[in-house]
Amino acid sequence: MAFIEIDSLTKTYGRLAALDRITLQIEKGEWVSIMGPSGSGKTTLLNLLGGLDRPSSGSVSINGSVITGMTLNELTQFRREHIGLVFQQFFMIPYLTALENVMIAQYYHSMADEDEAATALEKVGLGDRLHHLPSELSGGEKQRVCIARALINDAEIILADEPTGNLDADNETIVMNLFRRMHAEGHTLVLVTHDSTIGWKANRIATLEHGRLIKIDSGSSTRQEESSEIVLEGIDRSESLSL
Amino acid sequence: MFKRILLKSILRRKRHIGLALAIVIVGTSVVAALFSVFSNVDVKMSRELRRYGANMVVLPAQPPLAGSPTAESQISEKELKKIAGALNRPQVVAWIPLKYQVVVINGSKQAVLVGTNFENMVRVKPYLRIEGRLPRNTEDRGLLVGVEAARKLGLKIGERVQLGSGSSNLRESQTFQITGLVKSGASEDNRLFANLMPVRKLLKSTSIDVIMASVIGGMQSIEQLRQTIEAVAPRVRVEPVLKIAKSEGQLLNRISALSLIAAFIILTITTIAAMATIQSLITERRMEIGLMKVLGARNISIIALFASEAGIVALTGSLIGYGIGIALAQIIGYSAFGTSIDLNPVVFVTVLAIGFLIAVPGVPFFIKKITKIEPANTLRGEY
Repeated sequence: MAFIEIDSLTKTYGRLAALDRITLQIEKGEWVSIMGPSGSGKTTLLNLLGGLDRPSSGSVSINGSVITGMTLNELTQFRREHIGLVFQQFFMIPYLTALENVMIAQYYHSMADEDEAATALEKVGLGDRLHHLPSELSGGEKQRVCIARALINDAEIILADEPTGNLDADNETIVMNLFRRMHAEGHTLVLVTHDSTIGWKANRIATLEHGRLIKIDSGSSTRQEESSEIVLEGIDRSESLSL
Repeated sequence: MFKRILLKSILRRKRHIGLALAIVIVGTSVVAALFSVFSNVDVKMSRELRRYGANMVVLPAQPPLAGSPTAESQISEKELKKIAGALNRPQVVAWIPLKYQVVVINGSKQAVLVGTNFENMVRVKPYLRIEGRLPRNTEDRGLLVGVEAARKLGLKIGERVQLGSGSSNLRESQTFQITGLVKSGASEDNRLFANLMPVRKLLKSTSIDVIMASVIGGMQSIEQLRQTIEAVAPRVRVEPVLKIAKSEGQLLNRISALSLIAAFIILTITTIAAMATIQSLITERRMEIGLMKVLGARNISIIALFASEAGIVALTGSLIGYGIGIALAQIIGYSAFGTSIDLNPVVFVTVLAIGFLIAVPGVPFFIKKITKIEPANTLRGEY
């Protein structure tokens, strides 16, 4: 049985099928890109994988747990223990600093640890932005805070929805290097994108169209390639970063 | 971390918190002012209404027949002492004994002489306008003459007059000096007023005809006094001056009703405003709530955060509102009654409760809202 088993997953809104009988297996430590045009159901699939939405039919099981059969509270608990989420919009609590935005994920998971949160932010190159409010951070910096927050509880699965969609080229490189590092560290990555350059970095690419899975391709990435040292380009750090 | 989130949420969202605080402060300050005045109004208004004169009279049980006073038609000195004891209560502003007698002035003309206590008379009848001065002490043979009587009799301040009891027999007369003129626009304008003691000596009688009292607390207070007085002096009867006592009661009831209606309207308006504010705050914070849920927050944690914020706003707003309300009450007290408004602990507790009622009106409402927020929809920007 695969680490993530998606079986005949369907999500309809009235007569419209956002997802139509999707079946897909994702192995532990695999990086899968979900690609497709706008409205193809990429985000819907990601939301169902993250337990943020309920399917109309079909099931999703992660590491043997059928999350589509869980209650809301069970889903919340599962999500905080196993899943890290990164969105295209840099969702942050506006009145909390970068450090506190990471700590809040720790707090809802178990217990906030300021030092650990600070270390996580240093690892994404934000050691000098710990006490900045979101309004004082650039888009790339905000997204890196969101990545640090997704990783702080050592989530096995990282689900990212167009994480570079709102970033310039430099920040896109920084963020993608962080994803490569997560993958190298053994996290299972599911990344939604409509950018083939980004999607191509994965092990496999699942392409959706009109809610249907139309093909699965191999990507350029292999675990062996990424286990080598990765230096975060564009971040002013002399040392290599290891997440 | 909860305290940290709560503190930052309050300190870094000053505009929103300020708006919510302002609503609570407006509501609670008005309620504190109204309730403080309301809790004092019966006493203050009652004292104010005493300006219109006595609202209670004590009469002999048997009314006097014209020209023939008898023991039954008078209040004896013994009864007067007992009644004086019964009237020694905080709700009695002042009382006066009154002894009426037709007297002969300078052996020719007649007028009604009234023996009384001047010190209390000006308190029982504060509407009297006096020119000159009052007789100095209870034995002073000073005379206060009504303006109409003075005009008809040709009397002036400083003049000495011979007052004789009964007919024109001046052997039973005594000399009094006019110290002042009195004007009321009523029967007092035709009377002569002197201290009770010299009048008693002149008339060789210690009994009196009537007692007038100024009582605060309305009809209920008068009724209590009636029972006490009639118990110690069964030969007398106590009656309210209905015109004044009833008007007073009606006025107090109307003021109370108006205060309550005003407080109710203000509370309703502020509660609606608070609910609208909370609604907009929750709508504005949907993303934040959705994100918390994505990060694994349970509904109860988010509700606890919002409820704590509302509680802090309620407590702070109520305390500030209470302070402002008390200040407003003092201004009202001094401008309307010329005196301060007493602090009432019940008002404090009520204002705190109302502050929470305003700030947390929609706890069930926002709990429902929060629990219904679906993170996937919210983060997609679909409300």
